[in-house]
Amino acid sequence: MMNEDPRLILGARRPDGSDDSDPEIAAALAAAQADPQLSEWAAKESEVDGRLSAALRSVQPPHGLRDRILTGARVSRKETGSRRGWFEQKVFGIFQRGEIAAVAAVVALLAIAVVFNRVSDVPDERPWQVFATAKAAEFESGITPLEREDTLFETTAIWMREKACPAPHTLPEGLQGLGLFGCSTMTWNGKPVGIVCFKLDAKREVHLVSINVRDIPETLSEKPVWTEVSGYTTAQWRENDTAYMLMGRVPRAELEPLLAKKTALRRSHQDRVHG
Amino acid sequence: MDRHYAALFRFGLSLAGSADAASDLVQQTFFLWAEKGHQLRDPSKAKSWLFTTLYREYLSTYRRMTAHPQVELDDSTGELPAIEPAAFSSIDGASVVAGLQKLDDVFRVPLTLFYLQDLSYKEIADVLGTPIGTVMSRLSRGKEQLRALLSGSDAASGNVLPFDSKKGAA
Repeated sequence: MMNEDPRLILGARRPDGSDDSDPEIAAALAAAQADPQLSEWAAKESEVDGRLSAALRSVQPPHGLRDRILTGARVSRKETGSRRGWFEQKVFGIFQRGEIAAVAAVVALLAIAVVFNRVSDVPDERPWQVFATAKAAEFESGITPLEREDTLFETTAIWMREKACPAPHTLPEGLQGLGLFGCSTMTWNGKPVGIVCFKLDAKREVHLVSINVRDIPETLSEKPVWTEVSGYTTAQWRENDTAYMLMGRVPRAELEPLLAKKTALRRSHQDRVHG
Repeated sequence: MDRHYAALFRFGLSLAGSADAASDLVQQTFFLWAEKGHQLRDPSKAKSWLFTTLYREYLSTYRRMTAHPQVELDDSTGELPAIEPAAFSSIDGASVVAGLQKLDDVFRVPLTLFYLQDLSYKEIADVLGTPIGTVMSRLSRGKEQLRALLSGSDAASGNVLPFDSKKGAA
């Protein structure tokens, strides 16, 4: 006859074994070792749990959910006083969506795709610039922490290259006067992308994104081209084999001085070393 | 965010029953995280905070839209029937979600959190605000019901219809 407590406890043991160091679980496992019937039951229980768990965890979120999360976080940071209105608008949106046949059809197709797990490994169809702004918004909102905190450009660039990520070879002189505080390496459609983050002032940040020119579809000029991407003011240019994008949620007039003059990092570093 | 949003979506899907409603719950959860997450003193509690917040958002937003009958719970468990793992060898995610949808909340919520494997049974008890023993007995009862549902239909062979995509948004 099985002991009731060990069976209940073993039934709460996650099939991946991550609870095995828990004192109650460990005691129940020990009890099972001494009870063949309980041991056999526990083994089957864990196997069935593992299969059901794997099935549930194979369900993929809809493509684009991450972006919508980031949009919400952005609203939260900008308009904390309007949370109630934003949420009410979302709840109403649930009903409104049902009234638009075309949208409902898309939603239904998306739901079916989710159910049958067909939306995994979908290529990121966003341009790399849009991808980069979405990631920057994650870092700014604090939803995703930067991979590395550092205040020195030299060590930041070395660390990025060690991770096989394109890092700036040259640093716009204006950026050298800002407080660098960290960086991350990312992947856009399997291609490495680097981002170095700076404090423009106490509340605002600017980011320098780097990607290999061979990994992007367009050909950039060596002269910065200004454009707005997802609410960010951006300047995009290329230098040798690397494409760059400087971006911030600030007016162009505040970003332009940061690109006024570019200084070769290697040269400035050598100057410092050799006096 | 990347670490948790997929699991939160699956939790929301099991609670609300539609991908659309689950997405709304996840967005609202991260919206609240962006507002209040910095107040969390212990970073190791972030995962529990996210699941707890999503569950509370579900209770306050979706559950009140539908009348739920009160269920008298008998926390005592009987002898579990023999289970054969082979019966679930080809089960898919849609079948599990559909099966969970048929359970009452008191079993569905802890069971979903258990199968997601992101939280221990003690953390599940924290999220739900229920004693650990209650979580254990509800897991036991919930598993019994879910397995009966899945093995008593075409679900175990992957042929069950997907969940009702409108549930939770109506």
